[in-house]
Amino acid sequence: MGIVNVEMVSKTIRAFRLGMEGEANDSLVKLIDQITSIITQLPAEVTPKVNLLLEEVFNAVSRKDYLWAADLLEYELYEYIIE
Amino acid sequence: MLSNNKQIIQERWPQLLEVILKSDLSQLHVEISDTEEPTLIIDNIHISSGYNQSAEAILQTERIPSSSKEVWVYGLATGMLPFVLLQRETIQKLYLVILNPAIALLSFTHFDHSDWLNDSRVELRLGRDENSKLQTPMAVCPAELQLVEDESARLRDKVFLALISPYMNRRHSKDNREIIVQIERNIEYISQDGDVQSLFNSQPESSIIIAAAGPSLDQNLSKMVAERDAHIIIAANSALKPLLAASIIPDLVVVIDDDQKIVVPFQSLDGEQLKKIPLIYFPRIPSEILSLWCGPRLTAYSKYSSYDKIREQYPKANLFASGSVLHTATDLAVKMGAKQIIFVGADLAFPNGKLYAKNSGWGDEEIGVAQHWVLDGHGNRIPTRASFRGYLRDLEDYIEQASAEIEFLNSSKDGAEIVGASLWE
Repeated sequence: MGIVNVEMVSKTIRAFRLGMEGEANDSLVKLIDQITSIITQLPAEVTPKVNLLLEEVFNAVSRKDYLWAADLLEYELYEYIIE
Repeated sequence: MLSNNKQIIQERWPQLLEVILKSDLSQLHVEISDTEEPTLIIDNIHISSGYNQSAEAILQTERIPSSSKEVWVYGLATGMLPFVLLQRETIQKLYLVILNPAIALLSFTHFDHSDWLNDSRVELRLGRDENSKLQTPMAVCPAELQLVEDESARLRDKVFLALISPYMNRRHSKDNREIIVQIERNIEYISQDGDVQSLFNSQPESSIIIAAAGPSLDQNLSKMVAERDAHIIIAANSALKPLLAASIIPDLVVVIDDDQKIVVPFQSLDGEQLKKIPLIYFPRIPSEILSLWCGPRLTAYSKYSSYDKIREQYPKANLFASGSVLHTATDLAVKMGAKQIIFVGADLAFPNGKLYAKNSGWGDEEIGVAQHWVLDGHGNRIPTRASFRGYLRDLEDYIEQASAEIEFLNSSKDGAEIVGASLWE
């Protein structure tokens, strides 16, 4: 069950890891839009975790800690939003 | 520093070791991540992935073609990137550029780098010695662009520009629908207006002021009034209102942006005052500006492919463009024959928390949260935008490549330091 477009997640992670700041931020905005639109379809116990992780991603991006933002997307958030 | 790292650096790059060991770590906040693969968190920035550093490094090496023999790595992180690259037998030389000796000291203290440091193909360099040129093919540890030392700021901006340019350039592709539509809206003007080439070599040996709308413009208006007859003045569109408010009528006005915001100052101009002043413009600017302008209009193009079709239809000369009207105005001044070019209000930063000169019609609220910095003329970090840093470095590169006979001056030390431009006194 693919909830969020896998390619979009991968593209965002890749852009952060390669230091492509503009592309990464633009991709992240689109990704967050997608996640927000499907968040009510997620199991009830997962929603608070996803919200917390999203907040942490925002915080990481706002302090320009982009590799941590990529880590959160790839190794923490991924499992909740892809399957 | 770990003894095995230290021993190798001592043997191979003893002078570099001295610089690294002298680093002041007292101002840095350092943590080790509590993750599967611990990494350093320096001033709240993770220097690498905390989960899979080799996968991250493999991804970062994709910028380097498989046939490359000589490669450059900017930033050290945990050392995984040079380690992964050196697995390639085709690589004969790997230059690793340290962007901040203090970060290198921390990394050499917490991680064993001996494997790749021992490789005879490796040469360590300091970013502060590499500011003048970005070398390619390159791979980058991007977190270190946030942690760079002041002395390597120029190099940081060049690396940053190289990383973001492919994405930004897509905006200028010939398939960009918004640009195509805007050019079509302006085609009546473009077909009838003059060619910027008519200005080339028109002012040999002249002194040309390029006025932009940065806050330091205010401090120089009285000097410009006093010396008015000694200079040609080219106004960036944003500087037009502040100049007119100080009773300075520029000789030329340059507009290149498609942003609708820039129309506003043109709506309240005294047409009679400007009826002999040429407007130099790129085909994508808002049509309202062309209809509001009462003086002569001259079209210019840039190298971008978005102008290929219109250029073929109505051939006219090119001017340099790289995001800021400053670039285009500077190139125009050079092509007019200037022997001296003076930047006024070209701050490319927010000195004293301000973005614009008075009377520009725009406020400082646009600054938002400034997360980037650049060095001002006094050597202090001042806030700026990532885009301004890029404009600055492209302007510096332009100056560096310009004829040595042209003198470039900057009227203020409060804005970003423009390397290659001395102070206008």
